[in-house]
Amino acid sequence: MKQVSRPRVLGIFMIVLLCFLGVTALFVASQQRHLLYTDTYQHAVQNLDLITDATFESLLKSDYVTVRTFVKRWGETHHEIHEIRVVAPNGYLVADYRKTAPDADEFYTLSKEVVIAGNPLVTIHLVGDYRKAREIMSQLWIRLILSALIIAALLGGALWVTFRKLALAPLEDMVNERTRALTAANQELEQEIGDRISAQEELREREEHFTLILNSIAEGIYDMDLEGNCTFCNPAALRLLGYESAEEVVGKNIHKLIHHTRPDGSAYDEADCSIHRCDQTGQGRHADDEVFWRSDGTSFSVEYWAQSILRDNTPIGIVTAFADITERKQTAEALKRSEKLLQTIIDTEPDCVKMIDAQGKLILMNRAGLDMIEADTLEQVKGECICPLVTSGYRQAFMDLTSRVFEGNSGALTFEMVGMKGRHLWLETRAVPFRNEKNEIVALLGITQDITMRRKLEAQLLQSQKMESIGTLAGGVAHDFNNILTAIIGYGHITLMKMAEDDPHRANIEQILEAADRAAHLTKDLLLFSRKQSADRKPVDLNAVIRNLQKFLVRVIGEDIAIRTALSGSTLTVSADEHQFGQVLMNLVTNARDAMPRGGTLEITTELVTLAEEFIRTHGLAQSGSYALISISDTGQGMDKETIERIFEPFYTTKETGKGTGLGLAVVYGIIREHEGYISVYSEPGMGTTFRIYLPVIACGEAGRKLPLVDELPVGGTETILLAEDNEKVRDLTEKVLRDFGYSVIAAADGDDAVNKYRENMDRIQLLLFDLIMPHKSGKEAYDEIRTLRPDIKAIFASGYSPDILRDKAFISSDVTIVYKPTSPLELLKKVRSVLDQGNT
Amino acid sequence: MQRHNLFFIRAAIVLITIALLLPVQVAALEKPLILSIHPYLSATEIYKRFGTLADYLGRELGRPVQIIIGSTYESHVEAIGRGEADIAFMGPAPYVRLTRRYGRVPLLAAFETNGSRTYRGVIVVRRDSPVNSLAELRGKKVGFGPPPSTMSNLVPRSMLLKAGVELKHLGKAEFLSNHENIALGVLSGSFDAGALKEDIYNEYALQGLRALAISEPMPDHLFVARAGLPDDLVRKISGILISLRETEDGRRILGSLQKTLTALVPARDADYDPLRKLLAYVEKTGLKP
Repeated sequence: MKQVSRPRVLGIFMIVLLCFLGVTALFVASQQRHLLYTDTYQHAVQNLDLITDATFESLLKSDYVTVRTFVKRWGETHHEIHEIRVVAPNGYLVADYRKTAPDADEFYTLSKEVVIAGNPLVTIHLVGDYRKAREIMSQLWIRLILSALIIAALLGGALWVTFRKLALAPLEDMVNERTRALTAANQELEQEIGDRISAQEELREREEHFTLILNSIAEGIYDMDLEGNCTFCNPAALRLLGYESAEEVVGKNIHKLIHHTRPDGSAYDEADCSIHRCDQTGQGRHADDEVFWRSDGTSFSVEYWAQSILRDNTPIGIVTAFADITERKQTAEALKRSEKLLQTIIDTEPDCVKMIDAQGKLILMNRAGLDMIEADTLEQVKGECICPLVTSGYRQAFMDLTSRVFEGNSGALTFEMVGMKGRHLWLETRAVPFRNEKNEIVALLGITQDITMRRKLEAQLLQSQKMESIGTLAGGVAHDFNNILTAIIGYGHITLMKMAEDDPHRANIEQILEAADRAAHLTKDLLLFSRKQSADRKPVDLNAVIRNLQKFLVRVIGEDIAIRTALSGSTLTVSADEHQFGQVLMNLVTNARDAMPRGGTLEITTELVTLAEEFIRTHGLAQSGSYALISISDTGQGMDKETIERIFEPFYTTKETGKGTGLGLAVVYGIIREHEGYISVYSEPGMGTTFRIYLPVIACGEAGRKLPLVDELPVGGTETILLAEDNEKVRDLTEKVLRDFGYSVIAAADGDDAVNKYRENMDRIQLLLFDLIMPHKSGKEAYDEIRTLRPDIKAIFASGYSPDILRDKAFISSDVTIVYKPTSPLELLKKVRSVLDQGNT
Repeated sequence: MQRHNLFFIRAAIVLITIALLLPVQVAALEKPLILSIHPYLSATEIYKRFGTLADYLGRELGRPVQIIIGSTYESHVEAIGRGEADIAFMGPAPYVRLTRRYGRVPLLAAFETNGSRTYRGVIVVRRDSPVNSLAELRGKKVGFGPPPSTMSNLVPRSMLLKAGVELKHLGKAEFLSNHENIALGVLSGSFDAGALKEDIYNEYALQGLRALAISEPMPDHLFVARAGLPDDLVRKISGILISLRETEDGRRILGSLQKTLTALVPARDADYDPLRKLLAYVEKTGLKP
């Protein structure tokens, strides 16, 4: 009320004040206007007087031009003046100024006569307006209105404040007090109503919330009274139990409906039901090993919680919440199966799978692992530290690895271990930390592989490589020796041939030749070992070869040693160089004899064996299948392990200095490898030695014929031979030998020289004797060039290199005759004669 | 095209530079040329009429030309005679007096009004005046110009003299400051008659004037230079004045000097000999000029 009335009163007050001020302003304005207009008129009269005075002088002097100029200037400078006319008494317009004033509406007109001594000179007429007065009036109006408004505002405000203080303030205070009291009461009332509404709202919301929970919860919930009849059932319970609506369940005995039979099919009496017993005990019940039955007669595994509903400490019913745990049970079973599968995998894993705790104690180990450590059962070693099984040299490394893994690293270690029953094994283990779900390292998980076999193979490979490199070295040395020996033997023979039968020096020469012969054999052995000696392999029956050699062997081993042969009944046909195989046997038998200085038994057996794939692989053999196994056993002193390891190395000998070359078994090794075979040795000190030779059996059963030994004396000739040899000594020797036996010899120093000399003596030359490897042009190249001149020219090539390498290198067909250095003069002469005779027969 | 543009740009730059430099030099080196004019009209009117000519001369000569108005006809003659003014515009009678007192001065140009080198004076009355002859002016109030004036004083007084009317015969003779006041004085009834030159008469005739008598033609007003002004400058000024008729601007300047002025022509001293005779005649009859 106060809010509304105050501005209205104030407004009325202001209007009254404004009216008063307006009337006052009107009064003031009309007074001012009168004053202003009067003043303007008076001013105009004064102006006219001034004009009159100003022109009077000029008029007296008859200076009309000045009057005209003055009038014009006066008119121009006074805006309110519209017209000035100076009229002579005769009516002539002496001066006339006019200007139009379209905005003027109030004018005044003045006239004055200029008289001199009673005679009128001119009459001046002046017309002007009240423009200035009007302008001042309009400004005055604006000021008056503004002043009125300002005064009304200031004065009104001041009066209003005073008035209120004096008269209205006490009344207003009373009203305000009353209004405040009413507002407070109102607010209290509103608060109370609001509280009630919000309490109701809260209650309703909570109810809705509970209903929502009950409707949306995945677990089934039902209530029953003390008689066992269902009083409430939520949608999840209906869904789980297979009912459409609550009416189908509510009011019915719930036990008979859903809980009547046990999982095993036996009847479940209501009296025994643990849910029902809940109300008697007041205790909650929980079970997860029972089933509920659906409306369609099927059942599901259930987990339930039952709780008495108490009112004033008296049970009035039971609420049961339950969940279908079929899936959970299935998952648990699947987990069990998965664990079993994993266990099976671990158990059948060929590598050792083990877990060790931080103290190094064994937690788990699979079957393969147990086999490795030679334990019968896991229980035997579980909880034990396996560190002692590791050989002392690796124990610290093993423990370091374990601690490293428990620091979070993974690692690998190769170590040696002695099984619980004493077996030595080389093992390689890879270990990683095994973490639990909290990412803590709880164990070391290790996968360990048995690498014993692998290590053996590696050692064998190493041995093979070593032998190979030694062979290469020996072969190279032997080749150089051959050239030297060729010279010694050649010149020795020539000297001997030319010597008288009774020459006292003859015995010396013979000694020289004998020694050279031994040296030549030595180099041959070296070449054999290094596989640089040619092997003339043919299918031969090993049994036949052994039988043939038996009488020689008997002679070699002497009478103290009994020799026994047990040859297999079947034919053992192998592709072999009969001579080389004979040498193998001779070498082995010689060794056996040396091992049995006080006599003993030597046994040679042959048999046909089929070697398994693994044996082939582990022993570096070329092919699997049938092998001839030749075993040579003696009852000698045997060998220690160190000796066995080095036995096939060239120049390794246990014999006294001078008794053995150290090449015997090396040669055997070389020959057997050349024949794609394998030789092993088994020996223990004092227990004798057994060598086993495996040679691949070939399908062809035909045994090779024995080559007849050529013992005839060399035959000379008269033919002309072109000899090409870059080694001067060898060339001279060869030339001498051939000349001595009647041949004409043309010697050339290299391939180019040979071709030139052939061209010069084309008609005479019947045979080419060329060294294969020569500077400028090889023997083969020279031969090929000469063949273009004479395609049927006969040729013999000489070389110190391995025949198989040579044939590959020079593309020489196998029907071309090659002699390998060192060649004895006799052998050379025989070859020359036989080649010259070819085609003649 | 480009070459032409370049030429114009260069020419413009040169001209602008000259235009900028010249006034500075002129202002710095040359004093203004003083043009003196006798007070034959009100000062305002004189400035109005001669202002454009002075400006034009200043532009053409490259040197400012300043107007001074003699306070009297006499002081005007003295100014040019003593060389205080460089050039002067003067009526024929003052010229004759000038030559008589100071000797010959260089002549620049003379007025040619309506194609004539001469002009005439008129004695006027109001159109409704009963006076019809000069003789009837006896006892009347007559307005004259100042004594040195040719057409408002010297010539009409000689005319009245010839008609047998001397000043003493007149009711009242008043000497006004200029021709216009004479006309206005007659028109407003202050005088019965007045003497003035023909072109002023023509100006006011329609307002109610009537010509009572018209004089013999006399050589017109002229421009002279002070003795001692360099010949080339004299020739140059003379040339500028005489060639005014040839251009539109020049003709406009001529018109503003006097409506009837058609040209400025070469002045000849001999033309003023009749005036010299008239002056001698007036002096012989005892009139004070």
